[in-house]
Amino acid sequence: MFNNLIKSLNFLSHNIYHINRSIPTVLFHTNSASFVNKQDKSLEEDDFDLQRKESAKIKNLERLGSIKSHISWPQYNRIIYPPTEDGKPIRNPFVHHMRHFVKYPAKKMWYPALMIRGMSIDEAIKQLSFHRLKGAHIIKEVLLEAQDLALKQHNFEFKSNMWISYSTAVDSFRVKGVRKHRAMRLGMVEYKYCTYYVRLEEGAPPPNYHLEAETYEARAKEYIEKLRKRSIYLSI
Amino acid sequence: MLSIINKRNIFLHQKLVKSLYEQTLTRPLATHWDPKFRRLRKNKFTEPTLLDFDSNTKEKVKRGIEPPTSFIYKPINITSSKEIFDPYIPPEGDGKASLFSKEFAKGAVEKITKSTSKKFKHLRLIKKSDSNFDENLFAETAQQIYIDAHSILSKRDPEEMLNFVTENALMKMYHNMKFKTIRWKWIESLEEPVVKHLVTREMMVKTDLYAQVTVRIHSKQILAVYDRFGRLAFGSDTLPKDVLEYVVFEKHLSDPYGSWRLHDKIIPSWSPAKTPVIRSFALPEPYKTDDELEKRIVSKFKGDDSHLEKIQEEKS
Repeated sequence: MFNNLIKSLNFLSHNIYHINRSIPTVLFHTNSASFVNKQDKSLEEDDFDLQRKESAKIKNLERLGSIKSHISWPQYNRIIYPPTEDGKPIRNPFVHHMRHFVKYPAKKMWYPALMIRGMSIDEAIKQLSFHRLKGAHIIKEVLLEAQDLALKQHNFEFKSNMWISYSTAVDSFRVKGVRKHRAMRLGMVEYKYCTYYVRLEEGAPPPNYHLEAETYEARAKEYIEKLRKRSIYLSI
Repeated sequence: MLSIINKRNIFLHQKLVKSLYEQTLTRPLATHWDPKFRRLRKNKFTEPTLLDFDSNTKEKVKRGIEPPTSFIYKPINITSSKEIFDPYIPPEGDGKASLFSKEFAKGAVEKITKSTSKKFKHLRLIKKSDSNFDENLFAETAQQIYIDAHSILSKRDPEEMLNFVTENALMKMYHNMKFKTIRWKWIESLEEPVVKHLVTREMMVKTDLYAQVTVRIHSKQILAVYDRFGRLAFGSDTLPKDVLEYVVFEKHLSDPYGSWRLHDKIIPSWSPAKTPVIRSFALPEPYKTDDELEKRIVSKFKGDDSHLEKIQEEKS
């Protein structure tokens, strides 16, 4: 028990969060423990080790750039943060949502996604409903779904008190076809699919989302800070 | 911006200007200079089999495509029932009024349920499997089971909970608890727990027997429910509350490894209203009920106590 206390104190300095694993669909309905082959719990690791492993997995995937897959993005919605003494949450409440395998090229989808970044959700819906591209209407549907999810499942209070902190469109896969040109000349045709990722956060949108530093000196400072934040992967 | 010399001018100007959105809707899609060979131009392209991810199954069924079949076999649980056999009707004013008050005299007569006259016969059946079954002793063990079940809730482990809780109750306790943290504390019991009602029932066959016991528990508890992000959503961490509950415990008598477990709670209609949730929310739309479905659901348990008559025959 004392070892667990030390581990917990060491771990408090880092991020604490618990990830809810999926629950099996079949419930074993026998009461007795003798039938079930349970491993000894003393040999298993503690809860903190399991949490640390799973959090390390996500961090490493983020570093390598392969986190934005359509399987891992909605798993962020299952992270449970512990309660604090102050009452203020550790992290601003957020909701991840996405739509995958949309029949629309990612290059075109990216433009309305860029337009939305940093806007409140009401303004985003207004602007998208008058956009000329077909992808904008798809993004609008995704935003409305995410709004419903946030209100019902994640305990957001108000419908319009949200803003968009992350939105991109990414290639997912392509289907190749063939077309004929003039004389025995063939050409390749690609039918493209993409996925669209969104993160909604609670609160009013921040005023300085798009602003960069105006003077040269401030820009130089930001650049140097970026370089100093880097950490070398797998180093001592 | 607009010249307001002539009113007619403004009208024409408004008509001519169309938004980009309207322009895209009304412009012609085909813009080739020779539309004569449009069909032949189409034949240059192959038709790849593009998968349909956007449409729903309802639209596909209309077109004639079958919906996907799922081979998930649902498990059938024999160790617990999904209902309360003969619900105990608690008298009004139970927790508030004392025995010698007006309120008690008015409406607090215990309403006789169906099978209170056959209580001793039900007891006999229970004692066949449990020879050391005492009502007063059982009430205290039941209270301990209640405490264990609620204290294990905070660790999200359904397999541990099944030792203290039936599958019916686990469904209700666990579903809304998945993405929240709960802090529950038992402070003390204000009155002794009392067994109020005993029922046994058969399921389809003579040898399958289930027993249910209702226990009245009056206690002080602390409950605090926190959000996914650690914000207080319900209750408080410091203020205790008086809680009056009629808890149903169930046991599968014909199972040699069966044990008494928490099954369900009876909440009377006259109980005081719950404290409101801290954050405001919009009321959801009411669910539509399926009348046909409700007719189809038939419980496998017999509604009678006919299995008790056979005990007398064995005696005589």
